[in-house]
Amino acid sequence: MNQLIKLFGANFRITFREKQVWFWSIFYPVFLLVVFLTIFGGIGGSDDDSFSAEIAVVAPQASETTDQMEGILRQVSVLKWKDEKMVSRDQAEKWLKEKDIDAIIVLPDGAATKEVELIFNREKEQSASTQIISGIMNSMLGEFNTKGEPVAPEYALSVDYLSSGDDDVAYSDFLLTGMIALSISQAGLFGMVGMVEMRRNGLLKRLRMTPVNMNLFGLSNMIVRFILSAIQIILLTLIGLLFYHANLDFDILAFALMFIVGTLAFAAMGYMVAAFSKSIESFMGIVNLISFLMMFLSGIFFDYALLPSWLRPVADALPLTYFVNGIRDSMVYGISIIDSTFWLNIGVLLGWTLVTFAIGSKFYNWRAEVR
Amino acid sequence: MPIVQVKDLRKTFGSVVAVDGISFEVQEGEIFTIIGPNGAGKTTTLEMIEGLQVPDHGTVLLDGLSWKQNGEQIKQIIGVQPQSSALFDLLTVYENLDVFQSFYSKSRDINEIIGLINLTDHRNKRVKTLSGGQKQRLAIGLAMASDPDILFLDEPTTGLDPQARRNIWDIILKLKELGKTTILTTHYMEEAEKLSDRVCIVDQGKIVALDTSKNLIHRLTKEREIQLLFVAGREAAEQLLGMAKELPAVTKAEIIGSHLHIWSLKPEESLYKLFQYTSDNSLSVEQISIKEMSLEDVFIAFTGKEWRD
Repeated sequence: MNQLIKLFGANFRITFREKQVWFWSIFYPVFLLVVFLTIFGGIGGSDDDSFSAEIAVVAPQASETTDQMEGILRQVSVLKWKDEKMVSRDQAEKWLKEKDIDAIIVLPDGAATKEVELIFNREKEQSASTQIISGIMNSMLGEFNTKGEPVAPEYALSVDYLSSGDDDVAYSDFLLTGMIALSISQAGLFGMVGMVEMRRNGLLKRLRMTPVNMNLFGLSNMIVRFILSAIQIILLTLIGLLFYHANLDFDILAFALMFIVGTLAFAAMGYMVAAFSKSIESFMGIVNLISFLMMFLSGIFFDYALLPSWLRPVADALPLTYFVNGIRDSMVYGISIIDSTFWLNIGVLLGWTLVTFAIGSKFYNWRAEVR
Repeated sequence: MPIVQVKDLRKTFGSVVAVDGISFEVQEGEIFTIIGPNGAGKTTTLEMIEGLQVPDHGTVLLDGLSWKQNGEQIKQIIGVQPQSSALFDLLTVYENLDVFQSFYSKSRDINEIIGLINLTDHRNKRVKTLSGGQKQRLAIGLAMASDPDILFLDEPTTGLDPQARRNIWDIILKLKELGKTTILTTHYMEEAEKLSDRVCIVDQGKIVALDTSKNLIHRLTKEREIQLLFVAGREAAEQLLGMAKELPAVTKAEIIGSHLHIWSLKPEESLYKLFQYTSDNSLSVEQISIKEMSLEDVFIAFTGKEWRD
């Protein structure tokens, strides 16, 4: 026990005396959160911060299909119609140029063209609302196409999914929880740089010449990681609550479990990378690549639904996808551990933990000192 | 019973034979030095004794215990200072010792250790800010954390300036006073001569010679080389050459440059006679020296190789 306390003390000091830790684990996530929330937090300009986009819908020729599509579009609550009725294309384009609206949706003109045209203002090409509208349309048409001749209830289902997410959850909540998940994952991954460094500078070899219990060493290290991640969560959540009116619906038990399993999963991943890295440079390179990939594919900044369909299987395999879902479910949607999605998220993360830890253990060389 | 018993150690890396049949014993309280050029197999030998590497062949007994059966017990009674000083850079001197001490069942007062390694003024400084010599001293301090019976110091002074080196020598001698058994590697001959009770010269994985440094030098040769330089230069040296050759204890005399070199079995007697001659013939001597034999000469004599640091 004394050994654990001393090892914890040593690990704690080492971690918090490192300026890099303060920068990357504390300052950087806060900075990113503030930047993203400030830029994208107020999409649509509405007071409640929730996402909405103003659109105009043009239907050159009314048909059964256009009627159905119109019906669906009207149910998507985040799409605000500039005019309650369909408008002419000229009128819509005028609005778009004057930036009165975010997008024009042109429904197919009968049997000849099956294309739904989506027109944006070029200056806003890169904006979040553009991406989100595309995403909504994509998933809507995806449903439409796969089902062939649609039946109304099936649409209702798809639309339901879209609106339930965006209805009362503001983008700031979405981003806040995404940033929390991202910070925890990065702290876990990058934190394992110590494993490479210890092997490089011979400290690992030195410790092996003592009767130190390496399990206690690992445990004390993990406790410090948990503390660091807890600080990140508290800090980011406070910023979200105080400055960006985040709406949280916490389920403490689900959140705590998700937090623990997630931290372990990303630490195990970092450990696996450390096992294969000869130098700190190569470790950092690989980890950066992984975290970059996950950052954009796992729905941290934008919803998973916005991904092109061919990329979805990749996102479906990434642990961060499940972690961010789990964090959102337990922080924003108040989904408790009774829910099956909770167990799906936990299960996938545990799978990642076990597999990467096993690979890491097999290949991490406790003996070698790279000179 | 010897506290360290090493018998016929062998270790091969691929096609390179690093250690090729090394055996020795070390008595309690001894400072035992393994010396040899880089790549001679010193560190590999030491690491096999420390349990870091498994020998291909041979046995190691520390206080009668073997690594295979009593590994954890051995770790409690040895202290190691590895070649690369591996320390917790972000912890202070005191904190480093404190955490290392928690690994052991036995311990020595931390402040006493800090005093022993002359770091009392730097007690609360982080390792990052210490000089190379201070870090090396702390590494020795960490080896002492558990108050072990046997200490292994792997090239403790390599890369240090003469002042820092002498500082470490003092510490090693203090450890001896505390009754510790020390096995030390070095490639500085001077260090081996100054510190050790016995020296083990290693080259190409084999023991070339093993004895006290005095005996080793003595065994090498009984002749001493005397060098003389005269104010009058080469001319005077030539005048003395014939006479010197006739002296009973002198085995060889020759002129190199303007110096007269004389090899004598009884240097005091030969010098006495030489000075008698110079004062009779009023020749003034400008320089005189008797060459010290060192372990370097021993190394050269035993291996036929030049010694390089």
